[in-house]
Amino acid sequence: MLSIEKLNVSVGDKKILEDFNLKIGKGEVHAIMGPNGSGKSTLSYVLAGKDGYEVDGKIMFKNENIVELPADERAQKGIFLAFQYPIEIPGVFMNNFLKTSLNAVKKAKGQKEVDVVEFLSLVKQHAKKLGIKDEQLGRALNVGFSGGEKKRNEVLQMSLLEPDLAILDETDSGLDIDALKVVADGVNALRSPNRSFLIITHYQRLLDYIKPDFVHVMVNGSIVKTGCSKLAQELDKIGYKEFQKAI
Amino acid sequence: MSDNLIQEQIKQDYAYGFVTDVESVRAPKGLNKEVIQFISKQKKEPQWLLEWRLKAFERLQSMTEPNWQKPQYPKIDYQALYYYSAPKGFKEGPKSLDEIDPEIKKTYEKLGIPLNEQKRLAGVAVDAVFDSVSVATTFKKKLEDIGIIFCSISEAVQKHPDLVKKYLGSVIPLTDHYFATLNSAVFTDGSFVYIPEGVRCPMELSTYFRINASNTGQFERTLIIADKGSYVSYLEGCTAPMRDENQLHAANVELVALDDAEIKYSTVQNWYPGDKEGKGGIYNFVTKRGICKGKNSKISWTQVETGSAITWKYPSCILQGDNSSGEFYSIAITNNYQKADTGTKMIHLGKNTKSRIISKGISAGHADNTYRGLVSIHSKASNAKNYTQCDSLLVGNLCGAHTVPYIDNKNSTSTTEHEATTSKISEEQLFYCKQRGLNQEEAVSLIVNGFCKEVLQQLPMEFAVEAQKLVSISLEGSVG
Amino acid sequence: MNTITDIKEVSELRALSLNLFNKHGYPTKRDEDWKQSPLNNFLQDNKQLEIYKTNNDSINEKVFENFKHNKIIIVNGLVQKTDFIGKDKDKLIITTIDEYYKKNNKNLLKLFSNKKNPLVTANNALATSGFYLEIKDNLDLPIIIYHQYNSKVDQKQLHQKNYILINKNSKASVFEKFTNENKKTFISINTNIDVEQNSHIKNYILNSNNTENCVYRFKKVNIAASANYESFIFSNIVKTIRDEVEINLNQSLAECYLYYTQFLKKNENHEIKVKINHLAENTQSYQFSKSIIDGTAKGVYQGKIFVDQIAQKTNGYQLIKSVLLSDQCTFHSKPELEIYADDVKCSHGSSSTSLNKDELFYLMARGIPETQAKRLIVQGFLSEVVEKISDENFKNYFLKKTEDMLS
Repeated sequence: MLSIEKLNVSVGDKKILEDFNLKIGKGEVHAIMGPNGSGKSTLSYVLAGKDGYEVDGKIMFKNENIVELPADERAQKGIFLAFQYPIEIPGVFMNNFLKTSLNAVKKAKGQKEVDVVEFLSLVKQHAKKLGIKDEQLGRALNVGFSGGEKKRNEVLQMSLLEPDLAILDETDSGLDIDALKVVADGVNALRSPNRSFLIITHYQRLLDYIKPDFVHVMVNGSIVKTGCSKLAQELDKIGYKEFQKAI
Repeated sequence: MSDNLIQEQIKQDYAYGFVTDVESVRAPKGLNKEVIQFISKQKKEPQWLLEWRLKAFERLQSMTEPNWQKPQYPKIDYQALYYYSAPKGFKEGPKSLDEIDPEIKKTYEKLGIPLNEQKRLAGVAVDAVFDSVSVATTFKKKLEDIGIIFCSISEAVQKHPDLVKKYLGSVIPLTDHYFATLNSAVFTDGSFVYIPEGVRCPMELSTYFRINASNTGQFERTLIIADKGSYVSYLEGCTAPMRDENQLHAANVELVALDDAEIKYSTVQNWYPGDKEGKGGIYNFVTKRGICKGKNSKISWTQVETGSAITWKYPSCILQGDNSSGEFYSIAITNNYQKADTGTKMIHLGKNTKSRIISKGISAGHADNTYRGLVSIHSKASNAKNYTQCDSLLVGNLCGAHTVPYIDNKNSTSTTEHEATTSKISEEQLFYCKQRGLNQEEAVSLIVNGFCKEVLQQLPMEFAVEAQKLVSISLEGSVG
Repeated sequence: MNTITDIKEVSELRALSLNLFNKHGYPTKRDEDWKQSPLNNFLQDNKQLEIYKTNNDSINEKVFENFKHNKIIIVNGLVQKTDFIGKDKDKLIITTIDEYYKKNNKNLLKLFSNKKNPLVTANNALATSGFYLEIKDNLDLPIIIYHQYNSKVDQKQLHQKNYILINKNSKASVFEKFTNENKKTFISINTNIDVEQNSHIKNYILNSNNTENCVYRFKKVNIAASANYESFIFSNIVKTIRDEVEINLNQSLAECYLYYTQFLKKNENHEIKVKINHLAENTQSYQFSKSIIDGTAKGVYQGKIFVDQIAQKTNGYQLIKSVLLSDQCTFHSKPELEIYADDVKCSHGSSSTSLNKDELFYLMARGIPETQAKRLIVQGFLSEVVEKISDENFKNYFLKKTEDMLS
């Protein structure tokens, strides 16, 4: 599904990712854990195609190097990033935004675009599962949403767009235990043999609810250790210090 | 507490309004070529400078005073003023502090300015300007050892003519506007600072200005040059005796910051504001401008304006070097019949230039307080950023508070942000303070100082305490 | 309906105004109020435009809106047709301004009171047309005033003077729809609006020109106790326009709400000038403006809030936001406060930025192509102002307009 080879990323003089390598197979769930400042969020931005980074190396997605593609085309090809801090855009209404996004992705896939009626029933059906009220769909994008509402909104978008690779950037941050369960259930419902996940997190908490197949430890822009889900529990006990020392 | 009762409260008078009894040498009254030649001769100036002055004088003939400002003032009779006044016996500047007229020394002691190095405030070098001439510069020797030049501009003209010639008028051109040009023609003294490459000035440099003689205009000229990678913090304080007539103070201050240099310029201006009926007081028409010539350079203006009948000044920054930044922090307090029209200009020319403006205007009595500012982002100034905040506080309903910002953005990658508010001290705030045991005066002082905090924080320690007191004192007698 | 005849009192006032105008001449950038005005160049280059003599010109019906409304059709300054519906017929009076002068010849001074603004004095002196509209009660339906200027006024100047009186306890939505199809024309429209006690008027304006002309609209609005004036100006295709309004909040609880959206492209210029005078206690004003500037366009916003000494408990708010899309466009703003009362709450904010890159990335990361994402952001940005419109029908109308304009 995804193969990152020798990825180097910097901003100005500052190196953020160094010779970063990662392979994610079809249907696999990978978790990347690491301390603050290890480059986790940058990785998610670079995979999604944000401007402002000097990027060198290969990002192979479904056997195509996407490193030069703009963000919208990557999204259309099936990469979805659930943002750590979903942005507020006043005046841009949820419904309008979701429909535009969904149709842009459908169009790129050569599928039939949905009309207003279809769209509304579709979005309501997904929203209901996540406990998102209709009222929220009539508001401006993320404006005045609570932390939990924003994160649920990210999962809603994910379920609508049905990506092949979903990247979850600190999706658990700022969530209380109930909200966390709702979000995790939403994510688990989307797990399928054809869909891969990359979960970026600081704490092991989220991984109690979404069981990863692989756990990677990231320090100073590289993966320093890879293991199974047990590694996450270990990390929670010993912290990242051991790994930072090693470098 | 009713407003009336408040008005009755402590009426503190201007504490610096005494006259020093020194005989002075004056230029003949009036403004003409001869007077300019007289000034130039007194100061033994080279020919080029005399010519420069005369060019300014000639230019002045075709100029008119600006009239766009809010405070109006009676016509100034430029021929009735003295343009040069020096304490008698003053020749070239005293060699040592012992040579200074004891009367003048006493004056500065009364003002709390330490001319005597033994009793000095640690770490402040002072240049004292009495009427038109610089009377003393302390710590000169110590500064010289690390290559810093800190002296009167007259001395700099003699000893460092190349530097003066290169930079004088380079930021405020001869032709700039009426008062700046007038200054160029008749300036008498002021401070000169040069910080060599890579030197961080180890102490605060300071000038104290005092107008003593009557019917005298003060036209000082200050020039500060911070060479590559250097740093200097400069303080300026001003007082004048109480006189019934209005006195004119038209200074020019030019700052030049080269690559990676930083200049911090702080002013506490407490010229005589006139009496409670608005009689007398200083017209403070000052042109201050700095240029961030080099990349990564920085100029920061901080001012606490509490005195003068009319204050009219816009310390500005020309942000020419890429990544350079300009700051303007201002407190302007007007009481009784004082008028202030002050603000800044931030001219963004270079890439990634930044500016920040924080202005606090407080108006009481019958006073009028205007913030006037320009933020101009030129089309080549990519990624420029400006943030402006101007807050006004009104005390009583006979005064006025005005905000006149001009914001011009010609670059789509640049950002300007402007916020302004006008408010009064709320009854709830006062009540809260009083409930905690403060009296009216203390409560107001506390709230006003809080209102000004962001600016007060910018002042060097030595000045901050004085400024805080001044803020409270300036409002006494009319505060609600 | 005829051109303005010579009534003695009017002639005198005209002569006086002409005198004032001649003394000053056309404004230039040396006049503080006109410093950044895009009108200056046009006026300096076209000083000798012939004055248009009103005529009965034909109506363009294509621009009529298809919802139910009261119609006033004005072609080249002259009222050509009215169509009031049902009970509203009895609540409305419309005549030429000339008729009004005849009936009220002793009471005209206030319509000619401006002595400082050179273009208003020119209008006072030279107006050849205009209307008087009186609203006497709550209207059931909105009024649409179709202002049509056609090629008959090519290379001419047209001065028009209107007076709108909203009687006590009335309520109305007045939508002014401008269509300009002419070249090298200077159109100056001066409208006095009196909003009497406890009345509510909503005044919406759509600028949609397609030609090389220059328009100056000056409105003076007097608002009485507990009355309320709301205006929204939507600028789509403009060439050179200055929209100026001076509002007097004369009595307590008077309120005004001013909303603007600008979308300027190519070499379009639009200047907004607002002066709000708080002259009584407990008055409130609110300004909210958003601009998108592209191409070599220039946007200007000059807004001043004046608070008189007696206008305690004033609430004045002003927010001006602009987004610059190109390297060659400019935006000037001058949000001014002049305050003489101490118990007031006044604030203004102004910002000018580029399109938010994080917003753009978020939308693109959801698969929305860049151009479409930009459009969405721009639409959202402008819609925030449109959402403030209190008349639901017009809110939806302008939201639709915003969307159409961008697609």
